Amino acid sequence: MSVTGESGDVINFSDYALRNYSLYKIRHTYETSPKSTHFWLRKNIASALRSENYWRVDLLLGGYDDLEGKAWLSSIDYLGNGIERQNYLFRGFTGRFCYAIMDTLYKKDLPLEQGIDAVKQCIKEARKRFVANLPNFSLLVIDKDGTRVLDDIEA
Amino acid sequence: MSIMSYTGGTVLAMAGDGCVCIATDLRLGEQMTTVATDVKKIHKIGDRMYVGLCGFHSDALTVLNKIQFRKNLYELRENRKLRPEVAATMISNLLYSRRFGGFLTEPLVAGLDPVTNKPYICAMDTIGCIATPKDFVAVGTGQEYFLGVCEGFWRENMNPDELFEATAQSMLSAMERDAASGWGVLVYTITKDKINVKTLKARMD
Repeated sequence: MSVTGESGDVINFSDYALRNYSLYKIRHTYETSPKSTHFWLRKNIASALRSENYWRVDLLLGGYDDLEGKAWLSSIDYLGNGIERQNYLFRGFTGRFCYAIMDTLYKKDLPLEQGIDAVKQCIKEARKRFVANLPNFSLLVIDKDGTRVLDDIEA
Repeated sequence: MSIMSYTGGTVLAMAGDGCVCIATDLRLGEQMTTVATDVKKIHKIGDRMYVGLCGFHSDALTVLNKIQFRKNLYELRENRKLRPEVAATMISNLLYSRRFGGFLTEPLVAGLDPVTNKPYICAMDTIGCIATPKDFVAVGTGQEYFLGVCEGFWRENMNPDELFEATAQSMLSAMERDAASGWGVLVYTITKDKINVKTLKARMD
């Protein structure tokens, strides 16, 4: 889960979500699937929306569903708009530059290396067009073998 | 910009002779950026009953979850299928229970009665006022664009094929004009023995 937004809310919300999922795992001895994780997160954000302290966080949820054998990518914005099972998603100002790049580069069943190249191209464009300096990006790959951290994409 | 057109989307339903047609666009946006192009606004809540939820997507999802919950509870308690009129009343009450500062979504119910197979369509505003015309209903950002076109295409007692044509043509015309909807159209034709799903490709924006 990648969380952006109001600094305090980012830390608090991620912590809250992680603790709840750990509790679920302890209680039921298995983890929630990506779909139900998405559902819970969206429900939480949507039900807090009309209270005095809503969560000012936008999140991207990426995972691998063991039951279906498919990758999962979804996003939830701070208003509770959940978008499920997408091929690519972006967050932040620079994301808007990159949608069109991915529209051209993305194909179904893209191998991992080409996927990472596409991401690097998007980041290159983001660095070129955005007013602030974006020095480092960390890269994480999630597949059926679990998660692994790859080398940072440096400027 | 209005919150009702933040994410965009339009749904149309038309009634024919023993059949109903419901159509949805597939765009989801954040004001002027398109974020997803495969988001249906209509959802199946019964064997031959669909509900369309337009307006603010987050509330549409919340209302959908509540409708599914109430429908399941009803069917378990009463041991009979939910009729479209009952579903509409249920949704109307749900929306009115949040009369002040409530759900920013406009539902549309379209379906055939599970026993008599009589067609039923209705639309509601955000606080649950049900309108049940006999011909067609539309909700969403493109609803005004439909009124004129549908009036021209709709006739009494259309069979499923004619109904599909009328719905498809109306939907395509409206998608041409409405900026917040588009990226393809899905048309579901519901008859007593099957549900036909057709995808239309219009201006993909």
